[in-house]
Amino acid sequence: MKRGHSHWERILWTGEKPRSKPVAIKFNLLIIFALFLLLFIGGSLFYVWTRIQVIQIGYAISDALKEERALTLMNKKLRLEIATLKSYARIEKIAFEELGMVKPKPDQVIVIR
Amino acid sequence: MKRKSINWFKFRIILMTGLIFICFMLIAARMFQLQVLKKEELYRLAAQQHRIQIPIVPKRGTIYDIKENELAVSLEVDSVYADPRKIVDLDKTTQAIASVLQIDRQDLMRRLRKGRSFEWVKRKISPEEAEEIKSLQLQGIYFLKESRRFYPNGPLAAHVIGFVGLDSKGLEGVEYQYDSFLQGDNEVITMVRDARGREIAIEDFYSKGGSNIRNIILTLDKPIQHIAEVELQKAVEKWKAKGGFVIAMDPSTGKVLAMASYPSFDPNQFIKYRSKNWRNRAISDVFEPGSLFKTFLAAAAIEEKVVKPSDSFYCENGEYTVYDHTIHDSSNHGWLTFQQIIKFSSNIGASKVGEKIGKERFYQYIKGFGFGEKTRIGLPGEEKGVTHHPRYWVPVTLNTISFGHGISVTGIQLVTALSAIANGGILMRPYVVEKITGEKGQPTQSFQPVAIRRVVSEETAMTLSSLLKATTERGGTGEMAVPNGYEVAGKTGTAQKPDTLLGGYTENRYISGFMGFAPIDRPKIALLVLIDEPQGNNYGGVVAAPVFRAIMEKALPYLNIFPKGTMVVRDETNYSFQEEGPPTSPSIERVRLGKGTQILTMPDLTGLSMRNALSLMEGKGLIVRISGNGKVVDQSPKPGSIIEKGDICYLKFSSS
Repeated sequence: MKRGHSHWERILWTGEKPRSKPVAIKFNLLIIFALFLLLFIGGSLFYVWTRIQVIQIGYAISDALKEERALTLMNKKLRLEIATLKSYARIEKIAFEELGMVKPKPDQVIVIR
Repeated sequence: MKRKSINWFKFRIILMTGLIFICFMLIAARMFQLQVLKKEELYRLAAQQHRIQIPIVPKRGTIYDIKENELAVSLEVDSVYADPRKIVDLDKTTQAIASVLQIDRQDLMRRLRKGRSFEWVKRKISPEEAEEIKSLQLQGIYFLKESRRFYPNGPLAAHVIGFVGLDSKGLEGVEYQYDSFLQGDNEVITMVRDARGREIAIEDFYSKGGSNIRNIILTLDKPIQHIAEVELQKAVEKWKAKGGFVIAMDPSTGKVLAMASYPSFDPNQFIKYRSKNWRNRAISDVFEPGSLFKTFLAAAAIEEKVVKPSDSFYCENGEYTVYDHTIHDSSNHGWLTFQQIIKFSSNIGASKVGEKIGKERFYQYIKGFGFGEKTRIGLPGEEKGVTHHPRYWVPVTLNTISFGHGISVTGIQLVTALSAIANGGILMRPYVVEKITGEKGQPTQSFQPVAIRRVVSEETAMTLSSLLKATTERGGTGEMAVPNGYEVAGKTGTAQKPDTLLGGYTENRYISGFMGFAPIDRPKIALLVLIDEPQGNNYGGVVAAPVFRAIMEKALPYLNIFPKGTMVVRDETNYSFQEEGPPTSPSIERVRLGKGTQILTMPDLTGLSMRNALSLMEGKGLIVRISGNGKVVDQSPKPGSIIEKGDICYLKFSSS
């Protein structure tokens, strides 16, 4: 003090403990600090969780898109198969050759209205 | 000492602060360099590493018939390519691939030894082949997705649809004509990928370039097309002919319902057929129509009122000399009325009618009916025929054109002109594309019937129809064209083919044709059948007319026009396919009656007294013949049969 040292310098150099504050105030500060810390950690975790969710959903969308492409292709293939099976030349061949069907004579045709 | 230590302390603090400041400055400078100066370049680099671009195989629109049955469909398939530098065992690899894909191993080996980094092995392979090769896990063998065109009905309507080449470009038919509509643009989807290369749709994934494809719906009707093709093939094979074609048209609109050419081809494997099989004879072949052309001579004569059907002409007993040419008839005739000239197809009679019309007037009608110019049907390869101006006609040309020689036409011109007679005198533009739709089926463009001009009056068309009907009656050249239970109008044609080497006409090469329409009162189909060089018989009435009958017999009931005598049963259960059948699929044909068709059916008169029976029959326009007394015990036609005004109805009465 006499040599014009600041209060902190003196504490640093003498190793004197600073005057302790009342316990109640110290405790309150600790709680506030802990709450802030908790909030910060919680917030951070929430943020990370949302990011992970975004990525997970991104994977899901990507898989869904792939699936959609595959299903569309499958759908097209099946449509083509239907169209091929519906070919009159094929149906007529089966009807005549395998099932032994014949074309009806005009007087054998009855039209249902 | 103490003073010194305090100084050092301050010095150290300043030094540390300075160092930290410099470090911060360096970091800030580096940040500035990275974030500002090199920003664009680094963004690009980053994007390259974590963005993935997925090229989508260009799509191609589907071609449908008028009922939306698929006629041409595209599908993604695998193409195999090799990077020869990465192949470990060339011998083993080529052997495995060659056996799966059925390709020449030596050729493959030779190609792979060229040392190029990319070599096609086989393009557009089947899914089964792709699976088999993938399961072999060969190194240096890779796959690329490509679009392949499939024609599920094989040769059906091949000449109209056409086909595409290996690069999915249309080469013939509608595939060629409407290529810009059918072909989609290249499309690329951009996505983000993670460190392991998996795709994540995390940012706005977007696609560059839209597919922008169009589907094409044709006017062709698959069942009618099938009937036409089957019957044409039967006839060509029966008469060992060189070829032939059939065109069916809706005369009131100009819609082409069927267009078949023979020899045909399968567009799935078009390369296996000779290129002459690809030719759509119905629009590309130019020929002399022969007697078919007398129809238009008659139209001109009646419209110009130069002859009446009852006017008589002397047919010179089969030999008529005009200048230095002698015109012959297939059978000798003396005096014939104009109606008989058409019915018996007399060349001499026709040429005398032509002389009465005069060349200028006749030429006007020839042009009026659309001969000598393209019909603009919307298909590639259409010809316009050869129709010279009268100033270039030699004196006998008028006579020969009167019976269809000295003029060349196409099949589509003939059937379009015939349709004008069938529909009451209006020439319609023929068309094969009904509408163009977007990828999801929303219509983007639809084509309406186009009336080009009125060629003859409605009255002339009606007179002509009755003249043409006479041709198909007993004794006429076209009597074999009439399907049971229908009335048709038509004209036969037998034309000698010109000799391209020696000039003049060949002795034994003919074109046999028949064209007509049915039913006569409200024509639904105008049909032309042409058989090229039949062997054994060459008369249109013998060769082509039965084909016409066979097609009409099957096609008319499909269009809900039933032959006379067909039994129509009222559905008492009120069961409707439409209500209880499977959800509406456009391709499932149902039994139904066309709207607006008025069908008279024979009522059940059994057990009625004569007074009651006759009052029920009143107003139906029937001729009733009665036998016996008492109550009706038998009747003809049977209850439910289709009847028409003028039909004879027999009623048998009995008092017991």
